[in-house]
Amino acid sequence: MKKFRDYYGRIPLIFLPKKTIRVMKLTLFLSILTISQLWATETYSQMTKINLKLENVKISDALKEIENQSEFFFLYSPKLIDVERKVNIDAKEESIKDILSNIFDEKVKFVVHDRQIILSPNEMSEVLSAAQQKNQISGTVIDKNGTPQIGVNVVITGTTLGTITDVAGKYSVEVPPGSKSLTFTFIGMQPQEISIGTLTQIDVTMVESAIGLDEVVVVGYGTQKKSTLTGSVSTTKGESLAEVPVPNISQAIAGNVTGVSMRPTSGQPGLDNPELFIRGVVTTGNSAPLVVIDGVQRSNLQQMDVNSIESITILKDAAAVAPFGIGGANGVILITTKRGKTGKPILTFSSSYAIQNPTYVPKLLNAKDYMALQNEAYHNLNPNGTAQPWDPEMVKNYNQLHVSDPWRYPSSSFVDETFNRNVPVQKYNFDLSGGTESVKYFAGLSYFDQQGIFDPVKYKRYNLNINLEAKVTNTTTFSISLMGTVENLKDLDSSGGEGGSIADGGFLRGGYKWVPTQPLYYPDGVHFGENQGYSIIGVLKSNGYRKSDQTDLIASVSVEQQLPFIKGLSVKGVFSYDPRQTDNKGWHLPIPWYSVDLTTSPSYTFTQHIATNPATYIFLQQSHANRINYTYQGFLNYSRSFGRHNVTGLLVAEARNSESSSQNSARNYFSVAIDEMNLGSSNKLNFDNGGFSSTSSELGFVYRLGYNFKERYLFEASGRYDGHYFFAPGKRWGYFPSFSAAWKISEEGFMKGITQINSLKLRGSWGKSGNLAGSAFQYLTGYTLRSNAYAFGSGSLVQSSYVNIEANPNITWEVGTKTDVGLDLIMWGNLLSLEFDYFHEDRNGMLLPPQVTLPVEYGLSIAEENKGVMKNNGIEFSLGSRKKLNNGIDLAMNLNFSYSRNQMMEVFESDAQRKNPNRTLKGKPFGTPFGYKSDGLFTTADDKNGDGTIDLTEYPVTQFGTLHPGDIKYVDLSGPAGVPDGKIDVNDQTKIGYPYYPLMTYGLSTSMNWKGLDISIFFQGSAMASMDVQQWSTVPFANNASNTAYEYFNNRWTPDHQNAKYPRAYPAPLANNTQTSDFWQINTSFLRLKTAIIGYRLPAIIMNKLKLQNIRVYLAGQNLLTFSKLKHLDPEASYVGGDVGREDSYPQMRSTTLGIDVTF
Amino acid sequence: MKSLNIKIVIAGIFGLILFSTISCKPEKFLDNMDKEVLTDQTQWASEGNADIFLNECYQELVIKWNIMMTLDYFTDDYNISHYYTASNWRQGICLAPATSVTDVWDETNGPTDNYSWADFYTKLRKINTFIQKLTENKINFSEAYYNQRIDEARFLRAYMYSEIFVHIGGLPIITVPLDRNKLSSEELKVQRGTFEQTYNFITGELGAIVNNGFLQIKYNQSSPDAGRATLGAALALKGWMELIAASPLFNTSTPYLPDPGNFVHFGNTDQNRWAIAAATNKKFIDEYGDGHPYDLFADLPNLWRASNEYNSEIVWDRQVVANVDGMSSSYEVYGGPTYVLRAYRDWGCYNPTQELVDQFCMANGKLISDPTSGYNPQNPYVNRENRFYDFILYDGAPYKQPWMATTDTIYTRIDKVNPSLNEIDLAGADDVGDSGYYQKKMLNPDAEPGEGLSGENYVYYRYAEVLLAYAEAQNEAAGPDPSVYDAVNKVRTRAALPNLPLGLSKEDMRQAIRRERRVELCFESKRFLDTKRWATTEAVMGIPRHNMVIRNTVPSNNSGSWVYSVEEEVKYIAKFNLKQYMSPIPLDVIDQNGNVTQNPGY
Repeated sequence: MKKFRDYYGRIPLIFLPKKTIRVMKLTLFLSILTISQLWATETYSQMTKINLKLENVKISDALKEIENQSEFFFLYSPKLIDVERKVNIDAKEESIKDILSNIFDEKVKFVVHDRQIILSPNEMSEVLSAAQQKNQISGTVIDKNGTPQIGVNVVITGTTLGTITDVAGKYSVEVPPGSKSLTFTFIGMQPQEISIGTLTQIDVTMVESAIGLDEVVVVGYGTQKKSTLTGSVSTTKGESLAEVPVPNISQAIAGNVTGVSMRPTSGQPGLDNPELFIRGVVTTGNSAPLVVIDGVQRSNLQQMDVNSIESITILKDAAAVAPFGIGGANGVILITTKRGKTGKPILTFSSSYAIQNPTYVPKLLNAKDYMALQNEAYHNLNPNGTAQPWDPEMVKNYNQLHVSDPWRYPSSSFVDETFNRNVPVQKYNFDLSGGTESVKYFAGLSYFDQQGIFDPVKYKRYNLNINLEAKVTNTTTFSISLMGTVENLKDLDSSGGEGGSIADGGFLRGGYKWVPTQPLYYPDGVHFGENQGYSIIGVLKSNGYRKSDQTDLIASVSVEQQLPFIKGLSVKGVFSYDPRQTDNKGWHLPIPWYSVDLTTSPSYTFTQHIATNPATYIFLQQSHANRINYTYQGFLNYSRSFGRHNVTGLLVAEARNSESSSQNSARNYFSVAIDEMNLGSSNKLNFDNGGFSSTSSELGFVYRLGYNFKERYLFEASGRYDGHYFFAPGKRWGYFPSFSAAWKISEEGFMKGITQINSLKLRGSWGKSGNLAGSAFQYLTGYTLRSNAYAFGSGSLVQSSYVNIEANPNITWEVGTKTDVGLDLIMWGNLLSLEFDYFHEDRNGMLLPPQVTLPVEYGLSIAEENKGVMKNNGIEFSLGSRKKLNNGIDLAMNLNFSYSRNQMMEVFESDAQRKNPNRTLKGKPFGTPFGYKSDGLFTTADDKNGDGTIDLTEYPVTQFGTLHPGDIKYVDLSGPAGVPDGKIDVNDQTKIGYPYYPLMTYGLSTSMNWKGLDISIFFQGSAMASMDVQQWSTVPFANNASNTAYEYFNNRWTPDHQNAKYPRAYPAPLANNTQTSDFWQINTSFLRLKTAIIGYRLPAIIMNKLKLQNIRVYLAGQNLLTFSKLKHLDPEASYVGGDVGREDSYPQMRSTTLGIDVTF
Repeated sequence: MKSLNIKIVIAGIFGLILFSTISCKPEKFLDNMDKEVLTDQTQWASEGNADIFLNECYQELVIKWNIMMTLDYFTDDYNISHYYTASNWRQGICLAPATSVTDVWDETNGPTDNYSWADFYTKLRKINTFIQKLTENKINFSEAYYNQRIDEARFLRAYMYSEIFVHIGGLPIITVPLDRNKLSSEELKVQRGTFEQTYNFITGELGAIVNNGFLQIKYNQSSPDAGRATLGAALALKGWMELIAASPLFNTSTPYLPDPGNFVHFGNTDQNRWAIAAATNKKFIDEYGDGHPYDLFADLPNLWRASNEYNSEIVWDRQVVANVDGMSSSYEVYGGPTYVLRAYRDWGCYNPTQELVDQFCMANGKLISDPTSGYNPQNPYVNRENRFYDFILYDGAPYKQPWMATTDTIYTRIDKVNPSLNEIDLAGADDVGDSGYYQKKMLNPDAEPGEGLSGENYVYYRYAEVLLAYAEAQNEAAGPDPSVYDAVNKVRTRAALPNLPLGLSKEDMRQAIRRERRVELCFESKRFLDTKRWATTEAVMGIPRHNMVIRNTVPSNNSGSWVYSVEEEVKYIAKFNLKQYMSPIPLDVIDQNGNVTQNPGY
């Protein structure tokens, strides 16, 4: 079968020359271009035109003459067919059928099978068929899961005869006498050769090729065979992601694919797109990877429906990313959507229903503990004070008091009273795919609906995907792909202050700080109260909203043409049109709450009030934004083998441009509460509107040249010449080359004897790529306009203009120089597979704001400069194993691991930072937190004179204000002269932890298949990241008497609990204890059972009865178990908004999913 | 053959697409416009266009309504909860902030009045740019326009300087936008001017503006230019600067802490500085005052009301428009009684101390410390001067603003039988006031408390201040002559108080003027600067303040009597370190400009 692979590897899939088809050796068929034998037969018989002029010859002679002229041969028994009869034939360009019809009368029946024509007497045809069945072999081809395999080539070994399987995986093939065996081949599967012997039915289970040796991998601007890759890429299948019950594919990629890590942003429906990093963070600027969908740069990752994804490829090293020029330095995520395959239409339906619950919710103090803590805080401050906030007797008995009279003794619990539990997520998907040799199609429709932990919060998404591919001629392929997405996102009313939406953290903050002695709901369950003029329940019950509706279309048309005049050359043109429309609407209604008068009887009376926070009047804000991206690509592709020398070449010219515009409008004071702009106040002072438009453009020229000798020594050079509108003329164009090579050691003669090693490849690459950081037009000076800037006279508003930034005419992109050395090994079949990479990157010209190099008195921001240098080192590997046991159990395991550590080598630092080895950024990873070094808490024993304070005789270092036992003790590391100076100030700051993003990420997936039953378990973990946990759940009364959590309450310092996790209670954050220090840094390393899936595929017998192809039901769980040092917060809690926003963002979710997939 | 033709045609089309992509003029394709910006050419092409840039300079004026922790948060006029970071300063904790963009919420860096170092120099650069560009493009403008706008910009610059000068002292004086392409890195590091140099720069600019006379003296509300800088504003600011400079903290050769660079004091004592201050304020009163066009506004409690904007007393104010982002005020959310008509209304930030309340006279004009005043400590809120009732809400005060449906009575007493929602919060545990008093002065009576709902202009200077500044300077320079009495009595008369008794000594007059300033200008961010320049902050902030605690002798049923008890504020230990007289300079300023010297004590 080596020959098969050789040929296959040499010819890019899409460029089969016409002659190949004419010659049509079945063994050469590639599954995506499979041409059925039946079709070929018909074609031959139909297409072959025969010229024959014979007079008065025997039929037998005439048939011989036809056999001579054509490839037909006749099978008949002279005993049954009268071939001695003489006939006259005069055929010009006639088909065989016409000729035969003329020769024979109705007594003779003829059947054309391929080139073989069977003649039989009409009445005898039944008998003859029966006789022929002896040589007919049929069967079913399935995969390890029992899924019927469509389009598998079934060939009589050593011949061109054969067929392909149908949609049910069934085939039937006529086998000439003497045939020894059948060969089954399918892309990505190991070829199988089965002896025929006396069998009439051969059922085959196809097994995947050893880690995709024959796998075709999508790379930049094309595809390559994985075995001949010289760059570092990792891939995953859409199918494997589809099983992971996450709303957003980004969440499924990290840990699943080697080299990708992430940092979640929020768990909020529709806003849960995490930050992704490929091989860590290598820049202080934009570290986001480039996303390419179906060959075009697109930012629609979040909108993708996972069912429409065929594969995802992560490009990592220079060789892989160089074709993306300016955009490639942070790595590239290539997404390929599903295409149709030849065969009958296949309709699949899949649906899942999940329930979600937060992984972590804060455990907030109840009223009693809250009051007790306030009294404790008061006494810590005024040991002899008598004006404690709450009567201690009442506090002691509060729980009983609350039970007996909840009106007078309320105790509210924000989480328990407002969070919805078991929030549903629903997903429905229909796919239709199929095709003929000339037209293939895939159409998918899906609906996703995720509810929130609060009723108004929800996200809905509708996806429509259509891919059509048509072979217009033998050398021309035309394809269209469309992906449409409609997203509806709904959030709570937004109005600033504590009353903000969930997305901006305001709402949850308002809830967590809610003082538990204030009722959320009154005991009547209907009326609701306030805390500091803000009403949580009022906001939840409000009809106000903030919503965002976005419609995305990504559309591509491409035409590919093989050029007949140069063998192996083809051209392709792609045009894509990606419009996006976004509509936002914010509708605010005054938030009511009720006060209760407990003096009235028999029933209490309520008075309605309007919350002062947020706004007390009605307003409506609406905006509309439009953006269209255009991409034009022209390809010139060459691929040819000259003996053992294989050459490929690719040239691409790519142009992209976009147009954006937006308008917004608002009105205040609606007298009628209807959310239509026209109904607002007609006073022009209550109107507002605005808008802008902009354009962008970029150009790139890509090349890739490949050469290999016998697929043993592989070389590739690729690169891009790129221009971008961000920069000034003269600074726009950059060249990003890369070179790579690989040695397939296993192809060497001396390795032949080592049968344990199936494949061994050594890879290396070097190259440059760019990173487009910063923003457009930093090279231009200009005056930015501001509306409603000031007012003169009686409040007439005027606009203003200002210089935003001092231009840098020399600004350009960052350049990363990447080196990668890798090893791919497959041993003992599939039992061991290893991919290992070591990588190093030097990022130069990193864009940095040079503010620190100028006096603050300069008074103007300076455009970024290309001054930063950073380096990054790391390793990654993936270790796989697969074993099929004799009893049918198929086991697989994959471990992947990535570690990358960056170091800032040159960044702008002030003298004071640079000169202090503790504070200098040089040599430290980007995002390293700096602060004071702590030495625990002062204990009562530290207060040697027992006066309650720690004075300088007891600890000779000035900290922040008067110190007491239970306050944080800092270490005097240094001073202005570089030596300890008895004073804690900025000179004492040092590195206190890891950056917020993990330096190490790993994943372990295991799966088991056994007759229809499948189980898979995926663990994910990360390490070497830390988080500042100083927030309201660890600091009491952090925000003006706000509530705190039991995390603090149970772990706080008291004289009886000296060795505590948190400082003593204080009525407000205390300057000494709120300094940024390692006291508050917690390592967020974690290991998490990310997903666990158990599925069952119904047996074929049941399927047959149901007349369905396949049904699989599964139960999946996500985020089921977490092991982490951090106990009160999700270690993957959002980092948006830094330390402040984290605890107030929408929680990460744990989900349990029940799903079904049906193939009709 | 037909199919081959098609192929060639298609191939040709592809070739064309490819070719055209490559050969289109790449540079032209990459040209995009940033349409949101004006070019240097259009910005200065006409008077109208140039005005747009000057509007930005006006926009940089701070709406002090929205600084929740106003300068009065750092005085003995308010008591505050622990929660507010100003409480660190009041405990003597004040450190140089790490970065120059920090505000008063950053834990330990003292009052900023929303003038961080970085903010100030950003504002300054805008103004300097305007002056430079207007000069360069002078040909595009009429003489009158040019003269007026240049002086407006110079006034704004002097005003901005004055605002940070009073906190920091001497500053790097920069009058043209720094250009790093023309100046060396050393030249860019402008060194800190001395106290005197900075003072001379500010008053010199203001003096020149007044002498030029290009600006109007005052605008009326009907004028479309109302809100622009005026001669009145320039002269009043000059008088105020001179008053500050003449005051003891600065007008001395012995600073509060060693100050070798003379950044926070003159380095000498010169009594003539009082005469200079008196002369300037006298010039205002003589040339612009007494109704020409400035005068006291009769209705003091409504002086700030939006309907009374630009009234005769307003000298210099910041324009505020309700419900416009960046232009509106939320002052009523911060101050006033926390609960109004049983509904939570605001954060109760502004809690006047007993010390301030005691400064309000009896209606007969006598101080409460005067045994003949008729003051009864157990019935303290009767027969006080009008301003007490206009400015302060006390236990039992009726409260009715136009936005309220009915009248409320504010109770701060500790009442176990009928607890008041506004009951004094001695523990500082929640938003309810901590002192027994709430502020009433300056709250917009027409605006319901709410975010951005208020549109009253913020008044920086008013004529009453000019009168009191004159009185103070003249008393120091020449003693309590009749013109001193006239100026003070004018303010007292409006408050329906009798004139000061004749025959006061210079010291008595000094105390009378200081008391009058404290009462008349309370909550207007003046007290902090007054105690600073008088060098009395240590005396008033180094000791605890007091609250009014009212309890019933029989708390279980209120059958006893209500006892008014003035009690020490014990929430934290009051402390004032001398270095706190001036604010620290942020560390990054010094890191990045070694020519800037830190203030004493930091």
